[in-house]
Amino acid sequence: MRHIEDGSRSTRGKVKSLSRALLCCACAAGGVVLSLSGTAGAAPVASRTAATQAPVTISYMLWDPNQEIGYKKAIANFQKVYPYIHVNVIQVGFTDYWTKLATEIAAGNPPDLFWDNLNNFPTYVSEGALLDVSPLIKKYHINLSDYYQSLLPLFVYKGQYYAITKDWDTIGIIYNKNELKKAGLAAPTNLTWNPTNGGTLLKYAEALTLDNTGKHPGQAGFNPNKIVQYGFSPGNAGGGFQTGWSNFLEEDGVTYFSHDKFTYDTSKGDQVFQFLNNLVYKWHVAPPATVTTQPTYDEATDSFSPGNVAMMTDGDWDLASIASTTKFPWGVAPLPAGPDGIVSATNGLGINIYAHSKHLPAAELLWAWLTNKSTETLMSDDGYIWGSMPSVDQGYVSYWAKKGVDVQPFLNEQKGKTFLLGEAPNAQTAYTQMETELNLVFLNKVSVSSGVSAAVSQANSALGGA
Amino acid sequence: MRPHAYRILLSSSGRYLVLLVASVLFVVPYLLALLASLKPLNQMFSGSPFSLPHPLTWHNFVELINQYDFGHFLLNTAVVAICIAVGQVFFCALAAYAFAKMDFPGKNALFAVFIAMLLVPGTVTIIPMFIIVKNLGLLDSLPALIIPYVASSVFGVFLMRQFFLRIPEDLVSAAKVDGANSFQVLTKVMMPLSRPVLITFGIMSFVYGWNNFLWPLIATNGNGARVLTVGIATFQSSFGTDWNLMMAGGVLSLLPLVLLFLVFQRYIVSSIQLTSFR
Repeated sequence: MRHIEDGSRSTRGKVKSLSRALLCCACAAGGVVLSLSGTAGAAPVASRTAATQAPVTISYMLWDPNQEIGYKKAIANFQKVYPYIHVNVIQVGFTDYWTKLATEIAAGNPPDLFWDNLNNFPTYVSEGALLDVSPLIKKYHINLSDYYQSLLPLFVYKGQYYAITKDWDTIGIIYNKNELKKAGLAAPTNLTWNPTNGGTLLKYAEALTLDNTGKHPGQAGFNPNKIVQYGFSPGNAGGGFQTGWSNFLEEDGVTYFSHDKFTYDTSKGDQVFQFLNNLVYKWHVAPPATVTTQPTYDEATDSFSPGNVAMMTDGDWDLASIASTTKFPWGVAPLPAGPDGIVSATNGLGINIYAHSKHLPAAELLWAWLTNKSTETLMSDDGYIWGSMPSVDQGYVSYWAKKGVDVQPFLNEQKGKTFLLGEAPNAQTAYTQMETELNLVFLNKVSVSSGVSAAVSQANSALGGA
Repeated sequence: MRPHAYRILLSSSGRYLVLLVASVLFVVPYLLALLASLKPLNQMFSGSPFSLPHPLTWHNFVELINQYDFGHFLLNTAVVAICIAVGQVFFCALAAYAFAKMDFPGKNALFAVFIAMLLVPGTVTIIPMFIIVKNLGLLDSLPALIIPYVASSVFGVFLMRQFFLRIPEDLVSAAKVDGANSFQVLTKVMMPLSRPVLITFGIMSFVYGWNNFLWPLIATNGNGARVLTVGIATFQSSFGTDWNLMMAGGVLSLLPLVLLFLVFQRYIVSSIQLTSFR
């Protein structure tokens, strides 16, 4: 899973009296309602009342420098309506983000708003750090039917909303157009796979795998120890659950996570892991886990961009990175369909409010603004994210179409069959333990059934609060 | 050539070979970072990592300075590292002098307790330190990065005390006979005689201050008090990493340290020799 959050601090100006706070809430609510409804008169009305407010500074922490640019534009619009609210945007790299956020929450001084992901938010809910935003949905007249219904449960915990998913992602195949052309293959738009003979996915992967003499797997004289280009990478690694193996599980009818537990340690689940390992060790069409597994784990793009892999599974969040690191034309295709068809993991990030923020009224206003349609539209139209409202999808599609990339497969998957990744307190610990055990499976060091069973039982005990 | 000469030649060739291999191992990461910092992003992942940049571009550095304010981060880092180095040398010398040359009841017991503080991992003090700095109203400022470290090196006190112990007591007595007080003995006699260890420890403190990451990450937010290490880390997102900028930032951060070592290497080597052969 890719995302977590952090926040910032620096909240200086203080709303000094209850009456002022109420006034602030009232005009904020008014402003948001007006802006949500797209009424042209919203800004002047809000500005008139806002002018009487004491200045306040709130902070908003995120981890993506690219989206930071988009959100700063949205915040500039926000400040036209609420000039008395200054927003300090803090961007921290993904790995360090969690260290910073955890420390600041422990010390009682995190940012007023911050990004969060599924791995972490239940833990912060249980620590009492996150504001239940369910009342804000009513207060700011947020219409939940505007959003993807499949994504709404992401940040619901024990029946309460802690965020409204701000964006979404699904998983597809990214392929190197040059290599497919050289191999005389059509775009991989309707590949299939099955755990027994690999389906058309395996045929494609074999045709795209080359050893140093230009031979393919299955051909006489092919040397599996001298492969210079792999046909297909599902990112076989314990940490590759979102972009890799969980999708294959669900496509074969195996449930990944259900009722607060991982549930894929079944004989059918083992078959799927065996299939993924066969791609490496039997059919020689996928990079070995010594490349894809920690500690040498490379980002999917690290193998794809230099041309070491012709097709890979990856999430749409990597598109900008792929565009900037590749020198060849590339395209997007849907996941290969398994026995149960195409089923993609879907996930999204949320913006949380710190429950004990000293500037809750201002923080709520900003939260409502960042959740509203104008922000979602801005972020999608500029290609930063798939916004979480179906009505803004076209903006993102058009942005990438201008760059010659058809991202429709991701959208089709979102509208098709998807599944959510597991959420529960201690999920981060559970994932770490699961990753360690599954790495051994992918490295072919333990049998599939014992490795998968160990991964699931250890992860589930961690979820149980171990 | 006589057999003896052969033996010498062989043994010195072997030694140089080992040194050569070791130096290659040390230099390669820096070389990679330098090459990568001069390449555009899409060239980093095509071709060999050791391929020469083509076209060679300074764009990464220009972008760092112009768009990401790295000039400012560099200045912040230098201020923090210099203040920490100077402060630690000064305050550690005071404590080390007391432990080495002054007599007071419980001196050895106190020193033992003091040294035991080396066992406390720095990370466990992060949250209390954060709360203190927050209550002082210093968060997100350069003093927040300097003050917690300026007088807090147990290792420095230990290192200097050991060095001061080697300086003959007679010199201290002679200075006192001439009317010097303790502070004067420290600054006029002990410190000039301890130059190698002071410089070595000063450089160690400087490098620590320069490379410190976790505390500046937590104690600062905006660009105002941001330092290089935190600035470089911001290029890593869950959505991909700007390796070219990260490498350019790494090179920018590395250069001053390399210069520092080149200028002071004589002292560093002599200090290490002194401490090893004592």
